[in-house]
Amino acid sequence: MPRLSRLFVRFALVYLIVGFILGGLLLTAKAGLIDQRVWGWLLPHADIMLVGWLVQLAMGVSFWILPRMRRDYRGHVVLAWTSFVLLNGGLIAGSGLTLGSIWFPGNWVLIVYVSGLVTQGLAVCLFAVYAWPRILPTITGADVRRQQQAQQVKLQRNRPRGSPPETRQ
Amino acid sequence: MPKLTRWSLRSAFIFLMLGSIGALLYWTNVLWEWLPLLDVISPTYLHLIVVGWLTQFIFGVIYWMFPIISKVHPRGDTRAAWAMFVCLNAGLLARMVFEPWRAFSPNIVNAYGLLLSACLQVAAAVLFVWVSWDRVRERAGT
Ligand code: HEM
Repeated sequence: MPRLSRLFVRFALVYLIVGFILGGLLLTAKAGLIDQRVWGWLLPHADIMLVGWLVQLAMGVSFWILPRMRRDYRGHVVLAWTSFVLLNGGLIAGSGLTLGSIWFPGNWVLIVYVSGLVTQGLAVCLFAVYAWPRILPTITGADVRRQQQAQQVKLQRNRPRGSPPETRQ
Repeated sequence: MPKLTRWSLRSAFIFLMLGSIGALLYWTNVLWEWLPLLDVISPTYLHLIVVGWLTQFIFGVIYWMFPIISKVHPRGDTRAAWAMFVCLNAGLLARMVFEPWRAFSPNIVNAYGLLLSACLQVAAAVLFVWVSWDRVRERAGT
C-alpha cells in the first residue's frame, strides 16, 4: 500500500472513532442523560462520518488499487496529495472548528461549516480528475499470454518462405 | 474469506434489507401518511444502512483484504475482532429497538437502552481501529 493510501486510511480510521463518539454523544443526549447543547454536533457528526470516514477511505483504497498506467507509475500524484490536504483541511477547519459552536454560538458557525464543505467538495473533484485516467481495463496474465500468442501467429504468417520458424525468447 | 468476514457480510446484508424496508415504510408514510406511527423510525433506518450495512461491510472486507501482519498472526488479535463484531451488531440492534421506542414513549428503560447502544457502538469502532491499525502497511508481513 503506497504512503498516500496509508495516510488516507489512517486518517479515515481516526475520523471513524471521532464520528462514532460524536454519534454516541448525540444518542445519549437523545436519551436525555447529558447536556442538550450536544445537538450542535449533529452536522459535524454527519460530515465526519460521510466524508472523513466513508469518502476518505474510498479515496485511499482507490489510490492503492486502481490499475496503474505503467509499473510503479500512478499518474499525477501531486493532484492526489493536494486533494488529501484539502479534504482534511476542510474537515478539520469545517467540522473541527464547528465543534466549538456549543461554547461560542454565533453566525460564524454556518460560515465556517459551509467553507469546510466547499473545500471538501474541491478535494473530491480534484481526486476525481486525478483518478479518471486510472480507470482502465485490468491487464491479467491471461491477456498478456493471448497478446503474445497473437503476435507469434502474425510473425509466423509474415515470415519469408523457407526461413526457420520463430522461437520464443 | 475468513469466518469473521463471512459473518460480517451476511449481517451487513440483513441490515441492508431492514434499512431498506424502513426507508420504504418511512418515505411512503411521508408521502401518503398511511400510518403516522412510522414517523419514529427516522433516522434509525438511515443508520441501519450506513452503519449496519456500509460500515460493517467495509469492516469485513478490510479484515479480509488488507495486507497481513505476519504468517503466524495474519490478522492480529482475533478475539478483539470478534468482540468488535458482537459490539457493533448488539449496539445497532439496541438502537433499532430503543430509538423508535423512545420517540414513541420516553422512559427510563429506553433512555438507558440508548446509552448502552452508544457505548457498544463506540467500543466497536475502537476495537476495529485497534485490530486494523497494524494492517495499514506497505506490504504484507512474512
Ligand atoms: C458511517 C456511519 C454514520 C453515518 C454516515 C451517519 C450519518 C448521520 C447523518 C447524515 C445524520 C443526520 C440525519 C438526520 O438528521 O436525519 C445522523 C444523525 C445522527 N447520528 Fe449518525 N451516522 C453514522 C454513525 C452513527 C453512529 C455510530 C451513531 C451512534 C453511536 C450515530 C448517531 C446519530 C444520532 C443520535 C443522530 C441524530 C438523530 C436525530 O436527528 O434524531 N450515528 N447521522
